[in-house]
Amino acid sequence: MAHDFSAFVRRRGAHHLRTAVLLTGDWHAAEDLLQSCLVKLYKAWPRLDTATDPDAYLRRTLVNTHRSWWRVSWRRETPSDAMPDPPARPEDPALALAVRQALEILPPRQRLALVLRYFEDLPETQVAELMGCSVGSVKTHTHRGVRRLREVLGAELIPDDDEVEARR
Amino acid sequence: MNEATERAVRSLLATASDGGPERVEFEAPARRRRVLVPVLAALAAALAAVITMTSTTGSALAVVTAAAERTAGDSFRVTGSSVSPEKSMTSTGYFDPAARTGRTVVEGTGRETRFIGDQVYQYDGVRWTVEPRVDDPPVFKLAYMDPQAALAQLQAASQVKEEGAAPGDGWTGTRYSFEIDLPDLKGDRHVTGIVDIDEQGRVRHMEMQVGDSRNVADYFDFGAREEVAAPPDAQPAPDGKRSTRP
Repeated sequence: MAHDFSAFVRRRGAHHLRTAVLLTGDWHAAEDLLQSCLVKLYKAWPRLDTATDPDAYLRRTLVNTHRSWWRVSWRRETPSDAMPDPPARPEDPALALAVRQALEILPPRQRLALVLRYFEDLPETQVAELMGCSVGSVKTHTHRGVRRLREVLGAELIPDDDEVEARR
Repeated sequence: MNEATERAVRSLLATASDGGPERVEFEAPARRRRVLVPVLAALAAALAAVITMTSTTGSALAVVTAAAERTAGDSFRVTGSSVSPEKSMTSTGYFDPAARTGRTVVEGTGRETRFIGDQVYQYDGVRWTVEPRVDDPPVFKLAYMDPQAALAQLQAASQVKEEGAAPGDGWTGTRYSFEIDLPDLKGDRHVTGIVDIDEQGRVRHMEMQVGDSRNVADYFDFGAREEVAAPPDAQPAPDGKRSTRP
């Protein structure tokens, strides 16, 4: 069981860490969030049947745990030890930081909708199920989230739909 | 949203999450004690520790743990800040442990949290939501900005040393340095800190440092009374009925 679990984490952990950093905004908090969720998954692992997708289970746990942390975010903002392996520098670290900061400005549900829809690449129905809302609400959250991101980051990075259509 | 916009958003999210480790390792948690126990249990444990220690020695450790217990037993206001290279945050709050109420506001965000009994009300700048309070802190997090939990953590302090006078704004007291090794999945994390205790034996100021991150909390207005009311229009959080524990 431990071997299977470790293999899963090695295979998929980095991806879920990326989801976590988009939700939390920084790597320290992302690592904390992921590890907290991995502990929960580890405890549940023996109960998961073969039909249970551990990715989906971990994703749901990330969403729920992050939401509960955010609700008491003033408690959760804590010093965090340096990561054992310093993150590699992204190709454009300034842009990466700017996007994470822009995401932080968004209301949590807009941010969550964008991350699930456009990073996790989930269909709207699945995003709605995870967020506990309707597909229509998901559309609204993503639309408003993109619009806000564009306001913060600029239309050069996120082209305006109308302008794109007009250029055609 | 058209395809070009979607593609741009996907690309930006990929960039924003780029730079992490290529592989994550996980060390299965051994049976370990909880880093944070529920507040009341922590206070009881702190009290027991104080009784034991004060009966044998008037050590700096006993002074600090007694101050932590005393401070957490009364209402107070608190300001907190958390500073790391990536993020800074400041909050103000009020807590009444006896009434089990509290309120915190994170500056510059419009976010507010109210604790009333077993309920947590959260304002995200647009609307209020409510859900049962979850008392399941993540084991890896270190010095919580939760003033009660932070105080409770002092019971695990070691290497407590008196550092001299600690005059504050309207109070005088003594500064102590301390160290805490908090269990973590990757082994203990070493926390260093200072705590200022006033002449009434209450914690006034506390700093905890881990690596390049620092938490600071200032406690004041002891015995303050503030009404923390439930927002009238709070809606149950979406899927809030679900446990945060899958």
